[in-house]
Amino acid sequence: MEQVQLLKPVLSSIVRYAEHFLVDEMQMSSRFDGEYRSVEKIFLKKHTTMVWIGGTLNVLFYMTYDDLLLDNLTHMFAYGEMGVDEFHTLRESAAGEIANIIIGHAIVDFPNKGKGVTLTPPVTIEDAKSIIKTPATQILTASLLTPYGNIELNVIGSTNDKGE
Amino acid sequence: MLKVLIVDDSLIIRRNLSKILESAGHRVIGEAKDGKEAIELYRHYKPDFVTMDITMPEMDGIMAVKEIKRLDKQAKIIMITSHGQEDMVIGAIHSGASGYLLKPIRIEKLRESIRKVFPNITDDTSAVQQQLDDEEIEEIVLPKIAGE
Repeated sequence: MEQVQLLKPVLSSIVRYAEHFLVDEMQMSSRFDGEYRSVEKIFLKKHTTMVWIGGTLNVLFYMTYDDLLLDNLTHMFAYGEMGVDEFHTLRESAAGEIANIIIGHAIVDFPNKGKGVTLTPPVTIEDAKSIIKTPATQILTASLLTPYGNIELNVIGSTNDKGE
Repeated sequence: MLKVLIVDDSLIIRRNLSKILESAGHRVIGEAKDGKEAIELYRHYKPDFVTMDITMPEMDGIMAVKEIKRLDKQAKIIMITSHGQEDMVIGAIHSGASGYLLKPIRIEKLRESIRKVFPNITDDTSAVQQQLDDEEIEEIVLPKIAGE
């Protein structure tokens, strides 16, 4: 199967676990508009976390947060208590850890139950603006809506690779 | 009270674990960001108990568990991971971990895991209860002894 054909099942699994995380763990209402869009360009928000999904898959995952939403998630994740000084550092850490938890749980619903899939530790980037598709790639994107803003979930795969 | 070493590359997870463990009356004697740091700190502090992440830079948690168990066969290590994959967890247990917990961490689950590894250790909840029980015993028993 070509990697691009794996993008939708991978992203739908991630969307499902992201909704579960927001609703059950963060007690935050969340709505998926039901659309998986193939796009030419991803517009990134202030904080974006990236995880490389490797091994038997070969997919880049980007999760980009609206500021207010990430601020709220950070407070909830840190049990609400933190000094002003540590907030910025904790926010970056929370962005990475939330992506890590969502992908880590979503793996079991990946094609072939995620067997042989590896993950890099998450990397969070700040103030990046966009990612542009090249001819040999496909970008698939989905949005989760919450009362505090959106999370955009994106996967990028190569049209040349074959998955196992 | 246990001396605990926390190993995780995530600052917010280290912070949360530290709060939970200290609120339960344990002492966090060190925090490591990767497997290599964990081994150094283990050698230095000889903690009673280690919480270990799996996916970390430099050296992952499974390698670190193997090395720590090589240094100390009695080491007590619980894996704390976001991976729902069975083979990762089985790999960690085969490396010598005493158990595992899935992130996000739930306070009661962590306390339960500690109780399984250390059945004779009390956390603060049971310690407070024990103190109350002791006070009641003193009130009842001491006058009786005094009257004898």
